Amino acid sequence: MLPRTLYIRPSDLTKALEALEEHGPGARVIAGGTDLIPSMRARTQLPSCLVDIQGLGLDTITRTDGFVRIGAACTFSELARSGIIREMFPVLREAASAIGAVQTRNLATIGGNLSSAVPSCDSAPALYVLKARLTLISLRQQRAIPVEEFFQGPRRTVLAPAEILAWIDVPVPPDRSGSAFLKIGRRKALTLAIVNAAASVCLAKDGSTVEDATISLGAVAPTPLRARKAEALLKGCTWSEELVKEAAWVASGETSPISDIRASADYRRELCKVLVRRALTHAWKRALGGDQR
Amino acid sequence: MKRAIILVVNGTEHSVEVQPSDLLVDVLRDRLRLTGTKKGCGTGECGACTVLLDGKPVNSCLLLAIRCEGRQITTIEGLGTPDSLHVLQKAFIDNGAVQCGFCAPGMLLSAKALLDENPAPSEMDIRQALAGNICRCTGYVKIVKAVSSAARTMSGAEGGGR
Amino acid sequence: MNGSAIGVSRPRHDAVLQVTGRALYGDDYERPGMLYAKALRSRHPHARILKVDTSRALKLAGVKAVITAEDVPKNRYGFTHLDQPVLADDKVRYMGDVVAVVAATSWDAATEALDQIEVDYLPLPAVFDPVEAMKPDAPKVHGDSNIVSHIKIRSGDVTEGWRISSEIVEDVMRTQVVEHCHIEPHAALAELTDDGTYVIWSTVQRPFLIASDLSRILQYPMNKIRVITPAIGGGFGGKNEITIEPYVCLLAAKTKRPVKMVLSREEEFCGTTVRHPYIVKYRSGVTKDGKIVARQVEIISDSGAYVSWGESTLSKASIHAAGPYFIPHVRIDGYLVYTNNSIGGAMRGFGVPQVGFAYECHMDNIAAVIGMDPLEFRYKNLLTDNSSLPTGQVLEFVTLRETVRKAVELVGWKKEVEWE
Ligand code: FES
Ligand code: FES
Repeated sequence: MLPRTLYIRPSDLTKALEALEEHGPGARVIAGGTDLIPSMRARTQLPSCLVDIQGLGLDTITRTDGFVRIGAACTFSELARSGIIREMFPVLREAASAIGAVQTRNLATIGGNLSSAVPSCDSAPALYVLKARLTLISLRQQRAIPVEEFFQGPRRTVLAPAEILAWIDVPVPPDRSGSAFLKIGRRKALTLAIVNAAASVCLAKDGSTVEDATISLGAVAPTPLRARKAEALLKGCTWSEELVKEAAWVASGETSPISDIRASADYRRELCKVLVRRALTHAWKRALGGDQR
Repeated sequence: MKRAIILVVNGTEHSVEVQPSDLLVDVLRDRLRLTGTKKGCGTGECGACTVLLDGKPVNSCLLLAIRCEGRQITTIEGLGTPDSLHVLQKAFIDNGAVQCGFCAPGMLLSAKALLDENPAPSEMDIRQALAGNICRCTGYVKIVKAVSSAARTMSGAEGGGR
Repeated sequence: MNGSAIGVSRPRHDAVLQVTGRALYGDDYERPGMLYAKALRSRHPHARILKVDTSRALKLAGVKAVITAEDVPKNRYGFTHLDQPVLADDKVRYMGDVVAVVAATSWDAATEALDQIEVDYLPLPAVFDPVEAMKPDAPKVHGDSNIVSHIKIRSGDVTEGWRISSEIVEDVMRTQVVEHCHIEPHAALAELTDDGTYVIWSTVQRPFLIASDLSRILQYPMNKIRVITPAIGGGFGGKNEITIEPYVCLLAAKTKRPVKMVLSREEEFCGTTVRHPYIVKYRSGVTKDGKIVARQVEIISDSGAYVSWGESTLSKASIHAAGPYFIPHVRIDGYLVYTNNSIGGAMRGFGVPQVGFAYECHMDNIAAVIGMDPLEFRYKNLLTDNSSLPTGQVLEFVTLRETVRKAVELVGWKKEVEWE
């Protein structure tokens, strides 16, 4: 028993944007609906009109020069299954497989996951370390922004009214680089992250100097974050277990977690240390070419 | 704002009038009287409402019926009948994988989708495929056993999967 | 069959219907002309009800009737204490209390009507911690004390027990609230037939208890109340007592149409019974050779807003509280305390899991304090044939020691145990 609403299935993207414009601030995009439908049921969201963006061609994964374009309406099952993603961005495949359960992954989309902007959003840390760019489209303009500039706070993004997240461009990672995603929740499926973390490591030609590293954490601040101090600490240094431990410790200090029903702030800070250490280590192994999965 | 749509359920076309806000689970149960699809939470958490949409398991409590036009919906009523059980149904009975039975329709459809894609799943594959279906009675062990025994039966007997 | 079913696995006789989706559960039933009912629950954990106005709701299209406390012939029920209203009258005592129920021609119409019922509340101070609730100046949930019952079990003389103990160990354990979470939510459908019989299809574990409670609530002869239990999607004690049956009966009588009601998962959490959270204090005295000679137990059971099965579960917990050990000097005090929390009711084990968890943790702690292997310590104190319980009951045919030995053997316990 959902509150009544209008429903529009536009035939192309322009018509979808027109419909959003026409129906004003009460209009909402529906993609997978796994976040929107329960919110409507709980009456925390009461859209006057739903604009369906399925079947508008936003559900493809295509490889272009230097980057891969992922349509915002791609489901997590499609992402997890995609050969391109598996081969090039295992970190994203790990994030996609960590969301919900089979049934929800068959519906939920990556664009919807980002747009819902919950702090525990699993796709964000993966996209942060891949340095993805998001393309936002409205009738008036089309703009591309780094994924980190998308979130403004819990359930708040930079999306203007009648603007939608259309696709995500992920640059092809440089040679000698690797990345990984990890999540801890109260159970292994159908759960929000207590903490999630992603890391990427790019090694210099010598195979042991860290040329570049990125670390991202979720559910430990109002938005997903980059642990820049920890990243800076790693850059230019020779890889060692000690170094990684210290970076994980620094990364944990860059968070501002809260205590809630899922875990206490202290527990989250501890988890950050563990997850960052493990994510960096996986990423490093992948950079060495020792572990592709 | 009612709209007439055609839903294809278990191979049969049904024409129904729906509100855009009507959920697939309610249309299946209340309008088409296909009550084998169960509702345990209404929020995508329990999996009792699982149906197959174009062969893939989804939560019918999270799906607007109006969005399912032109797609193939399979419910438990379409899996097998008391006179002609699907191998999975038989395996659930033989392995004692059913207690109260309320989770069974959803479990069976998730299991069916798994075996369609992966005829020889490991225990971990089975557990992951069923992670979106909660069973409060059995403790899952016998359900996992039933699915792997069905997989063996199906791969042993060609075409035994109906 | 040749008599023997022992050692043979037999399939459930209804399994074929279950796996084919043909088994009919509560919400799968419908009757021609059926109405749909929805409950309006309290907005406050504790408040006086000043006024309930249903007039606006009644004017809505599709709404056929709204019931409030005035419609209930006998507005109190309960297994041991008649303290729970079918529909809240003077006060609401927890967030799950139902103030009004609407019957309408669709779920949507019934849901929309809830917003149109106006209830004036005077919020009252509430109490959520049973220890606070026991204090004399705590807000009172009912009457003038929140302590509903005090169960005492005494055997021997604990003062003497402490005197002969070489070590005394104390522990406090707390258990949490647990909701049954049967995957099938409560559902009930009632019809008043032409000959004046109520026929009720309801997801209950105990149809005859429901019939007798309904008979009292409706003030209607029990032989004209027929409760049918369809397939049940799990109960675990959560479907052990009356919940929504009175509403559908009252509405069926008022509208002369069959009425169905189904709880949402949210209502299952806030408006049905849970496993009581317990606070259990243990104090045990042991001799040098590891014999428990005295044990004192205090149990505080959070009953929530009403008693439901609280007193019976607490009795059972108290009887079990000393554990499966022979202890000559025992003193057990169980307190059932009202709070403005969810109502504690029956759930698997009926009070015993709470104390079982507590006394076994306590046993481990004692073993650690006296430096004895936890298994040997337990074995030494196990009940045997002719042991008496703190209640005075003398036991026969006790096979605890054999059971423990067999378990140790099957588990492959870490060390050789020397059985005395
Ligand atoms: S009813 Fe759909 S997942 Fe529980
Ligand atoms: S058999 Fe009861 S929930 Fe699975």
